[in-house]
Amino acid sequence: MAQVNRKPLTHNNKVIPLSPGAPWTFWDFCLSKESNPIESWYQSALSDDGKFLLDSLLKSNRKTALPNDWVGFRKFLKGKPNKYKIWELGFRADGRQYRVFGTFGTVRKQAILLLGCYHKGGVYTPPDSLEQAYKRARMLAENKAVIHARPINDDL
Amino acid sequence: MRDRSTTISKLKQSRSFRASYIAAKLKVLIPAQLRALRLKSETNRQEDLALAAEMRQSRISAMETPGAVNFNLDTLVRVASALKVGLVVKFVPFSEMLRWENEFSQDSFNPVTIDRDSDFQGRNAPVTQFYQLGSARFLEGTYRHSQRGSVGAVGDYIPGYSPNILRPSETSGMNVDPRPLGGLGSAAMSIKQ
Repeated sequence: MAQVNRKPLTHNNKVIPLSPGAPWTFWDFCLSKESNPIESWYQSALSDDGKFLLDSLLKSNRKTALPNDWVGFRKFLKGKPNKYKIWELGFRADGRQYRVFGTFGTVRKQAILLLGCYHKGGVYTPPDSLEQAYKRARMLAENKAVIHARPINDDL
Repeated sequence: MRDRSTTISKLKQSRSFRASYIAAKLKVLIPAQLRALRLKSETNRQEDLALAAEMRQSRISAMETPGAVNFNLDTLVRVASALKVGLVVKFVPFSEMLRWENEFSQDSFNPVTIDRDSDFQGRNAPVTQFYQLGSARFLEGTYRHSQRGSVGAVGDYIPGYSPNILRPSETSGMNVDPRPLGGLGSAAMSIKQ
């Protein structure tokens, strides 16, 4: 009978252990140090309700290891945006269905917000939102844009 | 992001600002809890939960979207009963609400269902797991309830509770912090459910 090497499998490099302690970090897409379109959208388009809701959403989701389990996480977009794994985060405030497009960064547990818009009847407003998000993701991939940390405080 | 001091002063001044703030917390934390509970339950599809709660799947989906549903108590009770867990709704100081939000994590949120809740089912469970030093008024109320025999399971625990818990007679006339601690309130509401 042939001898079988029964060494226990001690290391499998296909399995990446998730450390539950490390929270996700959220970043804003920026064209330059001065221009932050996400913060501009946050300040101008969202009411107090919307601002608080987005803050709470990010605060809650950063502690959830798997993005698929994030509350408000809708889907990875299909078609062209799928090249950069652009996802969509949804919430409703002021009677509008808001959407935030994002992608993952090169560093672990880094989520980058690309664009904010709203959505009704299958139409995004502004109408070129998807194109813009794709363009911004491509700019990030080509190192033509910078990111800025979105601070999420544990306490008020 | 907002400046902390500006937010606090606005929260102190404006009722509508406070309402937005509270609503935002609940509109995220309730869907987060629902999603966490559903994903950890034995039947983790939205259709299964919808069937158990006698709702449409689209309603479950909406309830898991932040801000999409204005929850009423009936809906929450219906979902809680379908998920076999209790429900606590209580008024608390802002600091406690924030603490709850800060400590809440979808990954670690996993309340036991009634089938596995040995503390709820077992008559000899240690009372310290149930009650913490907190509201004297609550303890008194519970004690009276148990005397009347209207609460049932709760009454079994009260007479033998551990010495570090204040008895109603010990708390009368004392200046006890009236804020109930999490365990106390949770136990109360869970049992009421």
